[in-house]
Amino acid sequence: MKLLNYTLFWLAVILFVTISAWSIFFYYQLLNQVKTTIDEGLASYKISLITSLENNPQLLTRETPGNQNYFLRSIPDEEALQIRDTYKDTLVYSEIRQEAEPRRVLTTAFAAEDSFYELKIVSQEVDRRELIAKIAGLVLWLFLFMLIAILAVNNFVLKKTWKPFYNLLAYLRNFRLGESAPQQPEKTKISEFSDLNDTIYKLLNANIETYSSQKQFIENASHELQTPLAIAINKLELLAGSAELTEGHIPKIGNIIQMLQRLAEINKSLLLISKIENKQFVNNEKADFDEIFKQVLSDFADYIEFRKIKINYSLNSNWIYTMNRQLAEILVRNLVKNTVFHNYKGGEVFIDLYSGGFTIENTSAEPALDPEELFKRFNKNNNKTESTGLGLAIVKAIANVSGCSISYRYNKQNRHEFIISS
Amino acid sequence: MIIEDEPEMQALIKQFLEEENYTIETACDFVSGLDKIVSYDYDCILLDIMLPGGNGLELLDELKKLNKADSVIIISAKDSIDDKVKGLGLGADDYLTKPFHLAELNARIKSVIRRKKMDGRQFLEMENLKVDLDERLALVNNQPLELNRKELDILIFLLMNKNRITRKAAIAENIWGDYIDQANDFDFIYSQIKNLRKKLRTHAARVEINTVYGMGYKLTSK
Repeated sequence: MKLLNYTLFWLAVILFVTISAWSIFFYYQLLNQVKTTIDEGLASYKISLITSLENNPQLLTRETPGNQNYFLRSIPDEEALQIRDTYKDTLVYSEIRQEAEPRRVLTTAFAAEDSFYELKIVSQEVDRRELIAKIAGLVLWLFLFMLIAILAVNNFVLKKTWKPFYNLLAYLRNFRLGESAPQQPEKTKISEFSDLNDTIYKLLNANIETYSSQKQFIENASHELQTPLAIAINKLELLAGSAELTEGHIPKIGNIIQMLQRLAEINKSLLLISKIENKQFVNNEKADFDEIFKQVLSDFADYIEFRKIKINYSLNSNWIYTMNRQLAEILVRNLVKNTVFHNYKGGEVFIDLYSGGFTIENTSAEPALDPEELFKRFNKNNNKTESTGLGLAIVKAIANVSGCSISYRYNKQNRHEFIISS
Repeated sequence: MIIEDEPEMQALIKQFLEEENYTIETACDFVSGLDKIVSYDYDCILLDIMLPGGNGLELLDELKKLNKADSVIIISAKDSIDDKVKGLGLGADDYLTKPFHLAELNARIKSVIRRKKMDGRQFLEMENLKVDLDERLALVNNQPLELNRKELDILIFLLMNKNRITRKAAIAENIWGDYIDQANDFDFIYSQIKNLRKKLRTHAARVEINTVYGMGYKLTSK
């Protein structure tokens, strides 16, 4: 539920309850007030009526006319003594309306011409239903007006008030670390929002700075390591060729070179990841995956043959995807190399190319891998020291930057399966 | 002629190439590099792209304007397709990305110089083994040696680096391209070498491929 609607909803609920409660209270207060007024009217009417009856005794004996608003009845003394002035709500049959109407009746007794009379005075009609309907109607109107007022407030005031918040929200939603530039938030008069903006701006800036310095560090470190590593390797190569060495020295030098070579490879891969993540490759070419697969498979043909691996390549339909062609090649090459490298001798590789992606599966002695950890840098599930642990990180980086998705599963045929799709 | 700003690298290449009996001159920045290429002719210039005082590609441009026939191999730390295309477009003969194997550099220099000297057929020779590079034919005592493409490539590469240890990684990269290097499983080169050895032996070649344990191979005279 949106903030605006949420406020509106609760305001409406609270308003409805308050106004309803208030209108019930108001109704009873009003009714009381009306009764009091009627009763006062009845009392004063009683006095004037009794006075006029005493002055005109002939009226006492006469039958009370139907259209009069009082009834007279002569009563015995002891009954008269029991009568106190009482006000009561009763239903009186109205001949005009042909229905019973609620009326206020004052019952009293008085003495005239040596005998006692009971006098009932009937008030004007008090129509509760009408009163309730009127009040309810008014209350409903009040409620509607208030609702409209609140809506207006919401739309014009709250919307305006919360605008910086929504702007910030939209900005944060689209924010990608390492991709978006920090943007100075717009000024707002509301101090909480301006605090929020400033805090978030600072936080983002700190994050961006950390991120880029880290990235820069990896990049610089890899770059700076490149030359010394190359020189060290080449010097050792020269050293190995010099005549003064004994037979035993050369394998040792060979070992050192291998170690350095590994370092150089890790370095090269890290540099490549940095380059990919820095978007130094432009996605503007049509990568023909059938062609790329054929190229890569022929590049690796000798190696594949050496490892006695059977490649099952099936082209359902070609996948042509707009991305950097060089990266597409690296992607395929790394995946193919991966499937061959982590295979056993005489194993199989299944490549399925279809429009919209491809899957590549391999048999392997290794158990199912953790898809969460698999694509992380330097994740090595095995003890193969030759692997840099960066091949799949590169694949993932390429997939991310090219807008395609990559996933891994260990399928029913007990094969490691990678799925790439646009 | 080496134009390279990194002194260690420069000294290293110089030492290596002097062992190959080349005469070497060096320059370590743009200005001295330009000075030397204007004044002298070289068989081959190794040119670093990032130089103090200017871009190596501009030197290449100067060279072209002077109508010089010096062969140029660009050696760059930047593995950038753009630079490669640009460099080769400006008339460089080859492009090598650092880090490289010295054996690879050696082979590249040899083939660049060979291409430049268009006089007659080009042979690599060692004892009674002769490889005709134009015909892509290996001969022992003038009898042709039946080799497949990969075996011949390996033999040429070893011949270019004869009497030196050639690392397996360098061979793999030279023959199969640089993507194979990460596979790090060079045992498969061994099968090719084995075949090559057998063929050399049956043809009574007076050269042999020695295994240098932990490193690679070395082509020597018997």
